Amino acid sequence: MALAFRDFSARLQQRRAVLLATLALTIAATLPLQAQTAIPATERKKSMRYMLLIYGDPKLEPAYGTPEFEAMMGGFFALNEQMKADKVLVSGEGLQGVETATSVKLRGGKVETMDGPFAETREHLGGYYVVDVPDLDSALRYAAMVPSVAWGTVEVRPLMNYNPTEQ
Amino acid sequence: MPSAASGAVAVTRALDALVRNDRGRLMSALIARLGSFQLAEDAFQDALVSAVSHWSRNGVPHSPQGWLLQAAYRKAIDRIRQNKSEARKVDDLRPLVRDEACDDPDEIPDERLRLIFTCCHPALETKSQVALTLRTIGGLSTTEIARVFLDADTTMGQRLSRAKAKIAAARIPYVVPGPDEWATRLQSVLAVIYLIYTSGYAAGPTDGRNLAEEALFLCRLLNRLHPDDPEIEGCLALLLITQARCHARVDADGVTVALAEQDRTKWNRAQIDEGLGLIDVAMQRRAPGPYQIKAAIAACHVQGEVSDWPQIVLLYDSLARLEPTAVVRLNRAVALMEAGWLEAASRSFDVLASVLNGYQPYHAARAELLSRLGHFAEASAAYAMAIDLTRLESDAAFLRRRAEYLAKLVGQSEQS
Repeated sequence: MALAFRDFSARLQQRRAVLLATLALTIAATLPLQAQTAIPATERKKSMRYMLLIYGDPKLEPAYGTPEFEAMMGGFFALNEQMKADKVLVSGEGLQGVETATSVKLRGGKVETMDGPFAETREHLGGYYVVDVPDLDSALRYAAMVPSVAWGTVEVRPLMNYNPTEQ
Repeated sequence: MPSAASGAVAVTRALDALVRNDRGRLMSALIARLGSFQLAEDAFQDALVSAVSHWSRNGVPHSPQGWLLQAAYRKAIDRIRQNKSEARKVDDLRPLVRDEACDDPDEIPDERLRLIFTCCHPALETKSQVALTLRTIGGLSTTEIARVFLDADTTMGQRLSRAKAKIAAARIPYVVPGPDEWATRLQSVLAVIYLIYTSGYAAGPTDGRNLAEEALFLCRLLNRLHPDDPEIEGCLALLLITQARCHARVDADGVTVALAEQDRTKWNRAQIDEGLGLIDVAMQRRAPGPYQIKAAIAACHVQGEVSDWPQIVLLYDSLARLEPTAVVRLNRAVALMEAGWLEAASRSFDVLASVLNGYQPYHAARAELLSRLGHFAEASAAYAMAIDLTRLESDAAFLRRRAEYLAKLVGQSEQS
């Protein structure tokens, strides 16, 4: 029993190592950026925030310890560095696997709690970046640099702007 | 003495001509200035309405385009003042008051290249790209575009609105792509132009706007706005050489005529020569691409007395490397068959069977191959499949004629 658990936990860690590592890198990249986001108001109107939603089938991710895994990590690292250098990264996080997910909904006044994601899809949300860039084309350029586009999908969505004085 | 009514008719006519010729250019300038498709379109409509009343009273101004542009800017300012909160007004009005609109038509900036690339942005659905291009550059009405897609007017109107809303909300930039993205973005523009052409080709001469001519207009415009690009030249050559044969492709009974049997005197020689000239120029630029190859294939059909099928096989080989699609491989298999290499063709058809089972040209070509191989029963089954899948009456008539001819052959061989 204990052995089985350790085995499972190791497997879990291996599979999630990617996104956890990404998360660590991202946080490191984000912290010094808070100061940089203080762009003058005239400049700010020109930029727009997009979320890059990183979807992928965990089965297709390269296995921990393989050269492909190293290449992917290198890719994430390079992208983080690039976004940092370009001063476009607002935030980014990696998510633990869907086996850790719990879905909640309210039906007939009753909270229903369920194991797992609500939809049975092969591609799951694994993490995200928020970038602050001039237009969709620039956001798409960063999306194409996310290493997992080679086997998954990155969905690019503009964020809502709740400030009525800004476009 | 001209009556008020005849004056109004003259004004309407002048406006119609102007909208036909200059709508794309004026819209492109308006969108560049206003930064919004919807606002530009609304303001342009407002300007047309006020042109009718002003011009009927005071005559057509010496620069109608400049007048319309000026009027549209003012209408846009009115609309912004009416609709926006105070805080947004200042920012939105800033680009408008930056410099006054010029009233010399030669000085109206031609922003249509930006407009074309925005309409054909890959973030929009292909069908929306086509519709938006026809609407904003071609100046077709929503009704005319709806007819092309066999959609209801309201459905098409909603599609256009959604596309314009996405351009604004996702901030699709109003720019000509830079060198890194040029090649892929150009392919999506050319794909839209080619789709417009094939829709026109399939529809044949209709009572509405001729889409084949519209595609030629767009491709010529693109070639003028961005000269010396081999793929644009290739696409234009392809359209010209295909269009040159349009009067020979259907006979007096409305039946499609196979290329080899077409009356070559009905081909438009001037269009063919222009197309061939463009291919030569494009090839010399030493940057091959799919449209140049397709144009070269079209050229193989019109140079010399018969099509050069072995050369066409080789060209499809190169095309398949750039576009490894089942349809390209089917065309290659047809070329193999026409070159007389029936066994090789037969193997290619077998490989494609599962992928292209619902594709009419596959069954039509396979029927032809089977009859050449002497498998008459299978051939007539394939003809039946093809006729079932054919939407175009002229093509169905052609296939029925082939099937009847085949049946006659089989009858004769059974009697002897």
